[in-house]
Amino acid sequence: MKKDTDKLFGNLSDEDAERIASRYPVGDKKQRDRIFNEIERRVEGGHTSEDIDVSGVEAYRPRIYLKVISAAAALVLAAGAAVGGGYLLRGRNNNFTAEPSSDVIEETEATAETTAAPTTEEQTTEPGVPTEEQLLELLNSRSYDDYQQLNIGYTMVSENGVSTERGLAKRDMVTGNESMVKKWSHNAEYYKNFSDEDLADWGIDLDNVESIYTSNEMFMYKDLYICVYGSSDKNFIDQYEVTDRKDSVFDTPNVFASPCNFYSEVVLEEINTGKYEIQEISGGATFLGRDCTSARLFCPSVTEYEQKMGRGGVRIFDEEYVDEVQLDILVDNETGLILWFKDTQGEYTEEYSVDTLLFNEDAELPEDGAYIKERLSSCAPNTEETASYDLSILDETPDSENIG
Amino acid sequence: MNDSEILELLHRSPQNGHRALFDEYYSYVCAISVNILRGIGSREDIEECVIDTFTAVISKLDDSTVGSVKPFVGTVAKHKAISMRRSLMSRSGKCVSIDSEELGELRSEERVDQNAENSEMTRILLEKIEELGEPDSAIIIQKYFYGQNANEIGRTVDMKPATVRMRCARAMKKLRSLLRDFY
Repeated sequence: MKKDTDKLFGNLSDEDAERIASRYPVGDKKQRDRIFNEIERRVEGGHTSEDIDVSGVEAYRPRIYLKVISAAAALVLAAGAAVGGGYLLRGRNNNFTAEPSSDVIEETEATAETTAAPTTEEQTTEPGVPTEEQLLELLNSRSYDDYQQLNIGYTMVSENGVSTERGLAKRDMVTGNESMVKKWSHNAEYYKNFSDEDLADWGIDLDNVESIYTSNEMFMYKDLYICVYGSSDKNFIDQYEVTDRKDSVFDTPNVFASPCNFYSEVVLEEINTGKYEIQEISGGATFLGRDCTSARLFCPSVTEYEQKMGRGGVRIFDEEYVDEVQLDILVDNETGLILWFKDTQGEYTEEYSVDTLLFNEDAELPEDGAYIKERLSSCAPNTEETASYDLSILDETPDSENIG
Repeated sequence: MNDSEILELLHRSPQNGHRALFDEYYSYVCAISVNILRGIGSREDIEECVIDTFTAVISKLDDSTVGSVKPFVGTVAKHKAISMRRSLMSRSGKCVSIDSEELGELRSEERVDQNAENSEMTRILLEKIEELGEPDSAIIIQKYFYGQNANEIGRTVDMKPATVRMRCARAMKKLRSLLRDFY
């Protein structure tokens, strides 16, 4: 979608810019004044970033080595600063063994037998198999924005099956409201390093770990961002936090496009910032009954990538640590969503799979003000600031009822 | 205020002249900067580019400047934006094939036929945006040509940010249907 709008609005000539500027001034006076004050400050201080000699309009031309780089290596697209993703990539296996655990994927014979990474030239000659550039465009298209209502549910199994995260995101573009619920649980393996005494203190029964969970329920309702921190431990009351939605990273621009929360976006952000080389692309896969493109990606060094992104810091590795990551993905051909991925790093694996994908009338709407109010009634505010927050907006008529 | 009046004011009262120059060309510089930095520059980058452009323009204009200011402002804005784009691409390690469609957006006026076509498409685009009516047309322009967010647009059109987001989504859907025959 972003790429679409870039194409739609990105062809301005000077004359066009002049025409738009004369008809529609930039509206925000507050921002205008702030910028002017900064200009004055710099002019008075003699700050100019560089001396310029304007004698004509310079054409933007790439240097030749870019062509060499782009031909020799994967096309690397970077889209702004990366925000810390929530998931841990832990392993790589040199053998291609990744397959969705369910049997919903069916690859055609031609694509299933593909083992060597095809070149871009070869890809363009194979019907139905996108090139690397087309795959990146598909991933960045975010065509799911075309649907006004959207639900995505997923399961993320990490630490070789030890931990499981289940999530459900809902969006209604008519009201602008969104919600996302995440619930984490672990199997008995997870608790093996804790003492019996600690487990008893926490009330954890190893024979019944499936019922133990922690959760986040996030509601992006009108101008509010509300998060309920919950757990299965009934000794503690659930807590909630409220902030202005505009101040929340979950609203930049929405939960579906937030690399903090949504795994499809986390992986896309890493692809866009050059973490992975795309090694292999195949068409003809299906997942959840939807046509998909599968791809294998490879990160030669997580450490180097983290350093490049300014997230290095001091790290201590054990002897078995493997710095490479292999990532296999299935991308929905219509929406560009990553519906499944599996990453492997050494002995560790993670597997993400979308299990619910509903659009428009099939999708549930995000929770309304009455539901949220009811939910908060059984919770405690996590800070005094939250306690003093005006939540009267939850009592107002829902947006959907105001739309004529 | 025309260019002669701006230059006159700059001569008589530099600070008032700066403000007049800024008010006259702020939207123009924003539109150029957003257009060139689209897809790679953040809002802060675009703002920095606009500030840098005016700082450079003001420092270059003096008593001896005569004639039209607009081409000078436009050229400085393009220089600054292209320079920033290069810097951002270099910093992020972004490599683009020489055949990339993206580079087409930054080529010079040499491609007369392409420019003419783009100009015609933009004319149609603006026409269809105006057909949306207010405040939707203003919301679309502010968001996509000036890079304003829902809060800033909300202050302009006197709406809550959530309402702006909702109207924007609807307006884009309508705009796409209006443009279906042209794109």
